[in-house]
Amino acid sequence: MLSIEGLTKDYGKKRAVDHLDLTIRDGEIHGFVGPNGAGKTTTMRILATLLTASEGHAMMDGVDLLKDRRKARMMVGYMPDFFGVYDHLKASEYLDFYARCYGIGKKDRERMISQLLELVHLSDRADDYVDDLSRGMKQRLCLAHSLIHDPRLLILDEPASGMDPRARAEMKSILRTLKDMGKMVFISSHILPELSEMCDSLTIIDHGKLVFSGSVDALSDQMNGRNPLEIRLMPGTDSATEERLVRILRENPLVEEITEEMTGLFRVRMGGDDASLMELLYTLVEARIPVNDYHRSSMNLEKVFMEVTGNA
Amino acid sequence: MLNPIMTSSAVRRMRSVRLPLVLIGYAAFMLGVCLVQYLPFMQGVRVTMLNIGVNTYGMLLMLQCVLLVLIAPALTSASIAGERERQTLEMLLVTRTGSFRIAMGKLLESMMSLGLVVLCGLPAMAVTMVIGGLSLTQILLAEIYFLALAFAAGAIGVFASALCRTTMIATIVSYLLILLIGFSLCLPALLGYSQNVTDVLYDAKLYAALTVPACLRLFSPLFHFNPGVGAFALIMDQTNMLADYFSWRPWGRVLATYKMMDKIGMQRIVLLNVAGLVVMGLLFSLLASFFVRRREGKRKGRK
Repeated sequence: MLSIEGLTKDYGKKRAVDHLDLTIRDGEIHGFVGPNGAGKTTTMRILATLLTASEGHAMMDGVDLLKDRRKARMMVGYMPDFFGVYDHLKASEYLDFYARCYGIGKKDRERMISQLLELVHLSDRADDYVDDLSRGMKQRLCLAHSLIHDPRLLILDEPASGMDPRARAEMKSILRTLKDMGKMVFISSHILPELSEMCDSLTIIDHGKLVFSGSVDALSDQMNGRNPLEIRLMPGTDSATEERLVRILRENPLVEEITEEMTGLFRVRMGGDDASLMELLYTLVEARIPVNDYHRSSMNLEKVFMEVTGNA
Repeated sequence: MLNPIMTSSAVRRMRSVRLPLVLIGYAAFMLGVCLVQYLPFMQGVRVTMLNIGVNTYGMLLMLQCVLLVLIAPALTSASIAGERERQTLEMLLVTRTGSFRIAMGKLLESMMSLGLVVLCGLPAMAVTMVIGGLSLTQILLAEIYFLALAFAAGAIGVFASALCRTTMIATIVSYLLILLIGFSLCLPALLGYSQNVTDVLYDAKLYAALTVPACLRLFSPLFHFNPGVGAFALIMDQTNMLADYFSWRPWGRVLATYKMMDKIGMQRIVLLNVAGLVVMGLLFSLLASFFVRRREGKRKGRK
């Protein structure tokens, strides 16, 4: 388990990350979301030992990743948001080079390289020059490189950026395999719906400060509780019935605001839990209001992100 | 385990077209100079073979020194700045390989390439040996000096590469640094000797009485780091080509320096200069390793 406490990074007078706390469990894919300049890349670069933190701890298996950088490098795999590849080097040589940089012996290197190329579906391209690979293949090769020393924690900064949908799906499938292998995956992305499908938990930061950290379900529940209720009446419902509906809604103390979006569709902002929603539905049915559709509008991660970071 | 940075960079460089072109160009240029030197002889001008051999050799020594100083930064200034431009440096820095090993790997790889450049000059040098007037030991000493010179110039290139963000700026900075070092290490010759010392050196009797240790004490230690002094001593030791120019009395302090060098022994100065260049190369390598990580550590998150 990785436990980050009070992580802070100052660039002169500017505070890029402000006392960030978060936890990632073994075998968990943890999404890291925030608007541009929120401090995501800075946080990831600190954990990857590329930057020093001003304050805080990041404990993993009894090792403080921020203090013991040599050990941290062997425990963390990092794939940056922008990366290049070496020309005049074959895919297998590329991985072999990084394996030697991690001090891995020849026998283990050969085994790891063949396993990783298989994992990222590049076994048949092992002897191709890296320069000749497509962007998606280079991304997967870079992912393989970050796994070459078998790290516990994998930090992926926008791994799917610039990929076509097929390449993204492949990347997603690889990440699921890694999760099944028990690795912790810490992933940032701007493609938020993808994160919601992939992540078990996520952290949202804004201006370097923690806004939310927890499971995706908890976030959805928290946000959905504030979502408006949508009531659609049967087509052809007369205006008198619509007026009756509005009167009933106004009599309910939990209702805060009623908006008629279009003829027969009402958006109602109201508090309360699922029981109070059910109670309201009984009242409408008893009053013979012809309700065709009745539900709280769901919020995808994109909307949640906009809401939470205050840009809605 | 061999330095992975060195081996991988060497493989990539050998697979590129640039290095073979540099090597072919260098060897062709050296042999071309030989040919031009021999032309008068081939056209029937009466000169002794010995003079032709020694003069050509002296010319090749000077040219190789200049070419190495020009080629070394060009080959090394992309070493770390190139990784930065290619966005591969971050991925290297998160591995277990330390910054010193990265800088040394890059320097050693450049040295392998520069070693090949030095080797490519050898056939032209060997031609002069065949004609006569030179020994194998002299050529070997020259090769050792060239390697030390390439090491120091290469280390300056790697240092500039670690310091600067782009290869272009690193190349300019390394040439400027070499010029600055060459010039500033000449200052003792221009400013460093008092009138008394100059007088002693001009007086034949007093000069004859001077011992080598006394001369070494007078001789500025900074000269041992000056590649120009080493190259001059090498040429003087092996060909005595420039003696007429530097024996000119009105040159004052320069003449005093030359006389001291003569007294100390040109070969000894070459060897001291080789040691100085190696020390300078190591110092710049250490500085390079310091800047590799420091520069990355200062970068902010980009989004």
